[in-house]
Amino acid sequence: MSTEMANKKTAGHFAKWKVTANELTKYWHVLRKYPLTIVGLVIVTAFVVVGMFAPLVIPYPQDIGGTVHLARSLQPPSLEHPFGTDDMGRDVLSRVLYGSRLSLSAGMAVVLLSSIVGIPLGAIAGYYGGKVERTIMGISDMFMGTPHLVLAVAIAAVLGPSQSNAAIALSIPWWPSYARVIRGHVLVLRGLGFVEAVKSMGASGWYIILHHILPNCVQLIITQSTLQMGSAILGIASLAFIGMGAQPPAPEWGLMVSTGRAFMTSSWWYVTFPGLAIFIAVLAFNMIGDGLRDIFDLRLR
Amino acid sequence: MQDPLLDVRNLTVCFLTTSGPVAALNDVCLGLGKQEILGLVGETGCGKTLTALSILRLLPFSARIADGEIIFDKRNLLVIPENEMREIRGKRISMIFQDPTSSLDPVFRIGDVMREILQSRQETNVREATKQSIEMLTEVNLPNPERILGLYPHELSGGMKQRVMIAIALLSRPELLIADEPTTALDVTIQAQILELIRNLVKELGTSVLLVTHNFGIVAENCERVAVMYAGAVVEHGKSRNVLEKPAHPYTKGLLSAVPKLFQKKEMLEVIPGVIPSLIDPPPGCKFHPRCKYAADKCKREIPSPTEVDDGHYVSCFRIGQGRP
Amino acid sequence: MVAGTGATYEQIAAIRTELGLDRPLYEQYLAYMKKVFLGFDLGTSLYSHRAVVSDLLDYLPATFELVTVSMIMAVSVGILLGVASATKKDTVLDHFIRILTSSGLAMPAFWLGLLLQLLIGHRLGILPITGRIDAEVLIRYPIARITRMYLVDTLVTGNWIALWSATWHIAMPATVLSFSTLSYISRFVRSGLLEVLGEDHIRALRSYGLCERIIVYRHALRNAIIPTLTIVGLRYGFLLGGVIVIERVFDWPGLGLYALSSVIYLDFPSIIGVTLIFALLRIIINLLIDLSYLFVDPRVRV
Repeated sequence: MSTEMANKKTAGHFAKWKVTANELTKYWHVLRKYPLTIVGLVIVTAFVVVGMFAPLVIPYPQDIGGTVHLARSLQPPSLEHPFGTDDMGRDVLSRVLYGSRLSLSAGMAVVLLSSIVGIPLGAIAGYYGGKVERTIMGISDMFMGTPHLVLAVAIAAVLGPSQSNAAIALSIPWWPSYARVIRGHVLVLRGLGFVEAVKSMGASGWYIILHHILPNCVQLIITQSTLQMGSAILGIASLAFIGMGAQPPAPEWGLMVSTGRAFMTSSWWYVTFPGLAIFIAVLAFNMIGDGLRDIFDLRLR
Repeated sequence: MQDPLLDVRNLTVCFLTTSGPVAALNDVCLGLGKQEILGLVGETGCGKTLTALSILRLLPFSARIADGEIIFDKRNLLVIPENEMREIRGKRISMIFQDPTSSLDPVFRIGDVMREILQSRQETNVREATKQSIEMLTEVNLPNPERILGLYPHELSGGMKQRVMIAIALLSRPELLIADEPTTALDVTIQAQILELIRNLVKELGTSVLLVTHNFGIVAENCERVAVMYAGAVVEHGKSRNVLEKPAHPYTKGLLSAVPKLFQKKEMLEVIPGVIPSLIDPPPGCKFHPRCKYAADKCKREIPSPTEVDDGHYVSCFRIGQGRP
Repeated sequence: MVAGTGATYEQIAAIRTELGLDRPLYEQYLAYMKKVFLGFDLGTSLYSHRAVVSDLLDYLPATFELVTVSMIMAVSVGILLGVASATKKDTVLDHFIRILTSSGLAMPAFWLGLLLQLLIGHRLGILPITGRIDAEVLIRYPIARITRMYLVDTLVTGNWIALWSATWHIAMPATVLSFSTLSYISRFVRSGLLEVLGEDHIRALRSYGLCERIIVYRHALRNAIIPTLTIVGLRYGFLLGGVIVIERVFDWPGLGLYALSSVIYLDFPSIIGVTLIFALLRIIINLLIDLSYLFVDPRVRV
């Protein structure tokens, strides 16, 4: 075919993926009615910014790693150290702020891994149905109910404890939730009838999935991913807490709570602030996810 | 009419939406006499179901009664306290709904529901409640009522479910039965049976019926009087014979001429041009004027009130006398 | 490892043959499966040198007790809060419950546990911090060894003092473990109930003049509970995972602690054994949930 026709074809393919400025303003108007979601967004942005620019932002950048200032150890919160110091004399505030980089990136890794595996499988299952669907759903059911921490512990035993292994370990029981949700949505889309219409025009399975079904799932994927981020951060922190995740001296939130446990009765700030960071981060993601779910739901209706 | 059983006056109902309050019913007036079947006709979305629900105060969460009165037994149902309203529901005014499948609780047996209702209304024991339930199921011509008491809704057919609904509604011999499109979800043959059942029960028990439907045929066969609704208001009402044979409102005329008659020789069905007006942004004045071929200036500015054109036959239109056949 | 460090090549080779490690992989797998299913033999723990099975049986009751109590708490309180939240929608109570449940879903269990230990156990001294029972009580009022679950055994034998101590000790761990599931269930019941209350059959029941209380508690709730059962089944798996963390925080001597120490000592037979047992528990629970559908939802019975 001529170049002109080819260009038009490519432009048409991706037209569905383009979001016009008009649509964005519409979304903003709706978003304004959900103050909680906006709060969540603000908090998450703050965490992201801090995480990205951490070394530049935090007051004591050298305290991130294994530096030791025993003279300053276990000091209560003060002007110089708003969150106090830990058992090695490191500034807790700096470590907590840097920890957001670790936790958020680990969370994203889990979400990414789960979605890369789960979304295509879910789409295939929902689209082809029959034996394919049953097999995929059966496998995902098997993985889904597995107590994720147990599996993660087992994997950590085999691979050795580290944050990246923890992220891998968490993705395994979690991809099924993506698969399920996507499959459910694909079934709904199939029921709408336009799939038959496109098929009758001669489109192949892959084409339909890529160009028609997945774009319609974007809202769902975004909502699901946001909610999963919260759970992922919790999971990573929990694994670090029991020693199956990040290892010292990394300033990972869960790990800090675990170390701080020994000094809990005398130095309350050591366990309180890292845990508080986890709580607020997860809460923020949940608020966004809940708001998104409501927004997209109403618009779908 | 003299001494109506139910008198709906100027009923105005709004919905609370994100764009502000939207009027769904505007000054609806209806009168229902004793032992009579009144038909309430109109297209989907004209507000007939809403009117029916308002009588029992079963409006959806976002709806508000903005104005009007519903007089039953010398009391205004819209202002009496909730516990008194509950005394009336089911015992003096009852309702049956369009889809019997979704209107029956799927996790309870028929007998359990009927007994529960009877026992909450009066002090009876299980045996007496069961007896009354069986009596009522027999009245609606259900075979083997004892067996039906032990069944779940999903084990019954559509026609049987509707009969069960009628039985439940009539358990305490109410004075008024509101039937919201009772046959729309059923097969044609079952439709006829259910309507005959309702007619017989009216004669036997002396119940009045407000029959909500979108089907003029049903009105012609079953209702002595009829009220036609459009866009949240009653545009015409009177004796069925009069309204159906000599419709005075342009909307009614349009509706009736759109129905193909057996011996008519026509090439094309007459259609009323346009669509039902949006509730959020309604046209001023008479709501039908954008689609009316007789619309005049006055129609665009003022809302017409009911005028009597014949014995008991009222029309809300400024252009009566124009274009009558 | 099995032979201990410093073993010579010959010793290692001998043990390999003994354990069958030199046979092809699938043969080893089959042999293992045979042992597990036919003889209930999960091998010997590399650490304690006892049969893994007896190790597991030692630690299982403690975990089972904790998880079950947590589940009961989560379901009962969760349903209660969900109903209250739904029926009093948009009131102060509703908002309070929603804030509570949002926190429950975001809060790291170990953090909550530690904070409670600090505040209630340490500062205020109300609840004990660790362990299943007071050591003193255990010595003076020994508990019968029927199910090895302290709450059950003391109740059955009328050992009230020990029961009191055991209950006091399980309070904090169970509450912390149940918090997130409680929040989950509460939100689920709330949304399910609100949805049911808008449905046609509820409107029909209102038209019969039934009072609101009967409609909500007898009819709406029955309908809304059905999907809640599925959630309960799913969350059980989550609880089995979370119990590991809780056992660590409260020094609860159960499978969780056992699993953790197995990992630390690279005690593979134990690790596999623990994983198997968790999987088994999950399967049993799922089965029970599926069966309970038959009782609750008449549409399922064919």
